[in-house]
Amino acid sequence: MNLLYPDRDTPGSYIYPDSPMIIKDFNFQLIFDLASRSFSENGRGFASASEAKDTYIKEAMRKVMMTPVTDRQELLYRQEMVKAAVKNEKLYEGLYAIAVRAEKTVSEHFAGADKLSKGGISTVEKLKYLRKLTEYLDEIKILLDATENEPAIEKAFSEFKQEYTADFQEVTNEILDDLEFITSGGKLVLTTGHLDGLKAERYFIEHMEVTEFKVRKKPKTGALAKVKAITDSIINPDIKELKSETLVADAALLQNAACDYILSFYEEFMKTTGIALKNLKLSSAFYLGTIRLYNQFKRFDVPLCFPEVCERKDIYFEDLCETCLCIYQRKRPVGNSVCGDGKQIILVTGANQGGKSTFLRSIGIAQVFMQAGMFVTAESFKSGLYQNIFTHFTRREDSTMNSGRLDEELKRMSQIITKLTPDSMMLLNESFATTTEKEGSVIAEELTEAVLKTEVRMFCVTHLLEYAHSCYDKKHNSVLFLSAERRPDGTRSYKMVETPPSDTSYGLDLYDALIR
Amino acid sequence: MLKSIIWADKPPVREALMPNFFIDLNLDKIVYKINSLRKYYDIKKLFYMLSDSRETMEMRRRIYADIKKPEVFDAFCRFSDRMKEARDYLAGSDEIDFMPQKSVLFVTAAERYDQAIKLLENINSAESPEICFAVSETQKYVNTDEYRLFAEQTEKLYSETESFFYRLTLNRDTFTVRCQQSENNYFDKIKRAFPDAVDTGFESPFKSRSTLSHIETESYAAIAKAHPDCIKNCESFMNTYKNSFLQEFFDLEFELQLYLSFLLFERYMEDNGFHFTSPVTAKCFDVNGVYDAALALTLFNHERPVIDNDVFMREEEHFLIVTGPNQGGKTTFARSMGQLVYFSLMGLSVPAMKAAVPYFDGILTHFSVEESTETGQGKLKEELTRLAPMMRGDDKNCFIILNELFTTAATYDASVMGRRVIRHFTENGCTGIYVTHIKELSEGEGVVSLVAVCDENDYHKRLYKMIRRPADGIGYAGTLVEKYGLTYDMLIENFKEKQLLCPEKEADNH
Repeated sequence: MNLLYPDRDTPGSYIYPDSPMIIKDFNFQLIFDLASRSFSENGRGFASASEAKDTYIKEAMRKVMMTPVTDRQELLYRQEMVKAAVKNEKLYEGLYAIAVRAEKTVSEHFAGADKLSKGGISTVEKLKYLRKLTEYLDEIKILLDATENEPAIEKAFSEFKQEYTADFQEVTNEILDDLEFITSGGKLVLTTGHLDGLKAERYFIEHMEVTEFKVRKKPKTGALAKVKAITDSIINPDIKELKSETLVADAALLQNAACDYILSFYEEFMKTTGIALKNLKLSSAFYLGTIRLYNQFKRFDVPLCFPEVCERKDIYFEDLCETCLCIYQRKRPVGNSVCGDGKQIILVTGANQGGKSTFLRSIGIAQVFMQAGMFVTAESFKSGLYQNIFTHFTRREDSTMNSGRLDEELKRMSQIITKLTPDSMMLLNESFATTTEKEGSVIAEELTEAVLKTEVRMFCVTHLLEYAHSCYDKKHNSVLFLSAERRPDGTRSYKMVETPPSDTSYGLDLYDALIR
Repeated sequence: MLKSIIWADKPPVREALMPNFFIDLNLDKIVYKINSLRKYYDIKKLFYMLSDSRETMEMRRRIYADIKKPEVFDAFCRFSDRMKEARDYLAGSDEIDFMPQKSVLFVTAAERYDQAIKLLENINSAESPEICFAVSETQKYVNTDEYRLFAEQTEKLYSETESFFYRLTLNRDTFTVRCQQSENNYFDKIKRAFPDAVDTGFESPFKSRSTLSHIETESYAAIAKAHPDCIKNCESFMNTYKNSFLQEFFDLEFELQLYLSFLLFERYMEDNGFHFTSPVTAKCFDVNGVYDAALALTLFNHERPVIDNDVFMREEEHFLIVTGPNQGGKTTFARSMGQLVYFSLMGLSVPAMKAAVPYFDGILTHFSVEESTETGQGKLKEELTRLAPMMRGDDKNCFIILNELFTTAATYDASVMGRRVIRHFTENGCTGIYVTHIKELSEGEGVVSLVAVCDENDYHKRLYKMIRRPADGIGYAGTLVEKYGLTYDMLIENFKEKQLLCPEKEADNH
């Protein structure tokens, strides 16, 4: 079931190396939280938090969203899947419900395997497990058959349908029924191959079946059974009675071994099905979460679009809203538009409280959404695909000028530099603010100059004006300067406009607003 | 008559115990791994005994070179497998009282023994006189009339017993055994579900028991009825050949495991990127790329590289004095040299790229024990107590490793004691390594100073390399930005290394 990728259903082990910081700095918990809540339209909006929050969906959103899709074809596939998903909420609710139960069965089965590490899982348990797995698969088939024709979904399940054919279903059920001889009694015929010092090395199965017990009330080893065994052995001297306990035990060993042998052919099937069902839990949870987000944003009247993939040197968007702000405000916030084609570095300066950080976050969040194949809260969004996203956020409010903090900040930067690859995006928010403006500017400038020699994309929000001016004076073509707009009357539009860096960040405005 | 292939003269009589240097050099970990590679044999004890003479060491090197040839290795592995099976069947037969089964098992043992002997007889690419001798002795044995008759009968009886078969029907309360071929196969159904599946049958649940299970005993009635003569012949065969398996072939089988398991170990290391080389005997050390094989074993799954070192000693030099920062790889280096000498003396390959190693009569090590709760004086006392027997003995021409001796003593005392210890061993014609933090010890006659070096640009970065140069104590300093490599030049350097720089952008410098 290839719900997440054209050829597989598991996100690889690669996640953004910086994912804890991404989640923290962009407040992704809020988004995961929203995705995990079911919403009833008839009732009063959200069901109460305790009953409706599904922590697994949160976890699934985190896992899938923090695993970037970096291949264009894979991204288009995922986008198709998301588009199909938002049209088929019921299907994904059903798949998720099956997957939750199935995953429980699978985990319990393996937990049992761990506990009985010595003897492994008993044959009867295995038989039950196989039966349950086929039942889940049957349920999924029924669900799919009831879904309207949707090419993307057809494609995702085509491999499954090819492998789990009606014929396979049928013969498997037959075999499962035959194997019940071990639980309900029956006949087993074995032949030996090579004998090794009179001991058979291997047995082959000639026949097995469940036999109805001839006597009406069925005591397995009751008196009547005994009589029948004795009469049989009188009629035909080759027929021997299983008369001692040791003989019965030996016979049971053979029966179990024969059953295990047949089940061994299903070993691979059980393994892959177990994994597939586990994966289905993850992927269906992700789509269900995505569907819920989509519906919520629709309700909030937020613009939604599926982004376009372009080269990494370009970036372009219209009316990009900061996603978390949409959730907080429950309506469409002020959006921003940027035409940054050919601009490797975007440097944002300007008014305090002007929405610079919001702007930076809106880009980071959109990029993460995009690379999960999801929609973006914008009218349009076009960007490249990145292997890594790094955030370097310093909260100015808690910045103090002590070397311990600078040490920490630089250490973090050097960790980012260590992990840097050409296809990386760096988002710097008020970096190097923990030292004097002069020093901070020098550090920022040297970093910028070095980054300009690479293909790494960088967004930089800064109040280090010395740095911004000096960058501007160098007239780099690939740097775009933006500034938070401040209307002549001092009010903020929360819009970023293309302007040279100004001399003041209008902190006085804020001072005036707050102090007067 | 075969001879020992691991002792040139007579094998040592006394029981082998783990030598004292084993744990210090982490050889126990290596030998544990080696021992696990031939799972049916426990040959740890063979590793507890160093070669007893130069002749033994050189003989082993010749034999090991032979064993490295794929045909020889393969033949010896198969020989060992067959011998092992023969032993198992023989033991099985001994255990059993039920005569028909006892004799059939004996016939099977004879068949495996015969296979093994014939594998040995046909080895023809060996060059060492020792292996050639074993092969020619085997050929003589095989060509006796007595052996020929034995082999002929074995083959005939074995092929008969091999063709027995029966069919077993289990019902609710009864079962039936008949000597019949099967009529149809349940497997056809499996084939419908899994077209590629192959019917191998399942292993008998009674296989691991040496005796027949009750069901099998009952089945025997059907077999005895069908093949009465064959069972009788097996019995008389067993009575004739009861004591004709030669012990010396079983001895050979055991001794071979030293080489076979070590070669498997060597290949295992090679597969994981660690090289072994055959050492040559020389007057002085001249080694390239020696590394700690025990450390390598633990680092397979980690990204961290295992550092190797080059080292040489001139004729007038007797002790390597290793100094440098803590955690700088000094102990690891000392260990790797100890392992090098050990495997060289064992007549096997050594963990290095190239190695000339002198012959030593023994290895003595003294490693400081990890933090003890005792007082400083107590620790010094403990160290000296362990050192005393090493110095009391008249061991000449030994390889000595002294690691962090006298760390709790005052520097002056420690340096005086250290000098005495070195002088004692040097006078006894020993060679060794002395790991210490006392710089003064590295100055003087007959000693070489090695320093574990750090990166010149980054004081914190250990390189784990030992460089032949006078001991020093250089300090490094830098601003925070430099410390984190964030200046323009350092960033560019870093980007260059990671190939992050774009050629067209590099041109337009600011």
